Amino acid sequence: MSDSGYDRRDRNPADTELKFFGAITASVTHELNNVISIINQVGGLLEDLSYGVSQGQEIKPEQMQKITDRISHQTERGIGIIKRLNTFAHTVDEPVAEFDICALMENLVALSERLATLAGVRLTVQLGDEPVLLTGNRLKIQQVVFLALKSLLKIAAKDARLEISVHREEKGASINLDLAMSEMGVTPEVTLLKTIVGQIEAEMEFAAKPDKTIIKIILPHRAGFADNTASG
Amino acid sequence: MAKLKVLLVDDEDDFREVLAQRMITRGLDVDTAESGQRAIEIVDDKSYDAVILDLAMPVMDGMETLGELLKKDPNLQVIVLTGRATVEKGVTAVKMGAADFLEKPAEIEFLVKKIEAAQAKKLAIFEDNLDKKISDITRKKGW
Repeated sequence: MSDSGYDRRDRNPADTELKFFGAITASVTHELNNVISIINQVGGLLEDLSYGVSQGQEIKPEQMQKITDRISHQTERGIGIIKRLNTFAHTVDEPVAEFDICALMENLVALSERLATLAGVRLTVQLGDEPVLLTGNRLKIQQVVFLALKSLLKIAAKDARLEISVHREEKGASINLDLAMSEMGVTPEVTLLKTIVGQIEAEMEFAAKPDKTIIKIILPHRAGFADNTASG
Repeated sequence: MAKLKVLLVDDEDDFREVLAQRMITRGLDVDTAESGQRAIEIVDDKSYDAVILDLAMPVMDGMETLGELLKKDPNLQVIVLTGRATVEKGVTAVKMGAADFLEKPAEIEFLVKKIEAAQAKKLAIFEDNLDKKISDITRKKGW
């Protein structure tokens, strides 16, 4: 299997789409499990304190405040995760839809943050103030960007910074993935990425410089319409 | 009776702090580390009955940390914490030398029992090593 998590023999786009969907869901639900684990422990702590009170111990107000803060923080975190996953899940409702590529990327980057953190990479997103509307297959477009992101994470040095930015273009829109600090002499796996970029009738530009590696994906106004058939 | 000495390693601040507090309430002597790298630094200076180690951590993940900890002390009792769908990683960790594994969320009473079992195993290894040393000495002396 290639470093980006896809088998080079994957020629059926439906298989790679499922893998993408699975990768996102697995990562997000793992994070959700962490949230639940924390709330579970806090619940246990409240039981411990409650028992302590029954034995004559006192609880300080600041102790209770800290517990309340933790519950609030983790609940907010959990709600955010579920909203993002729900938004992502709904991108397959229609194979073709008009959408704001900025909002799509903002959600995808948020969903990918855990993977970046595990790789020791700081992931940021730069968007304009105005929506950039395209028409197309949102799942395929997200899959391409996610594949590019994973390829760059694989070659990122520790403490690297990866910025994803969206730009309006005459042709449609471009998504730049700009990795500052990569492992010396290592280039990302782009062969499969190029194949899938072609499947959505987009273009890709790749540049490896001493201090950064950039992948640029150029989407037409109508993107992701390639037939869902095996290539090659 | 000496308190059980535990090092808890997890990058999630809330999880680490709350679990540590609950273990302290139960009479354990608990130190914490927010990363694998930090855990490796800490075990250089102090001996523990058990290390509780989260597998999914940034940069230096649990498996890599486990490997480094066991290089320093092959008899170190490490109990790994895994996510629900990554039980197979727990099994791999045990094959690598971890003492045991638990799925998150881990019930505290169950975790404490695992720590007690780890301490018992550590003592058994210590006694076994001591017996061997004594046998060697007596054999060399011809006693």
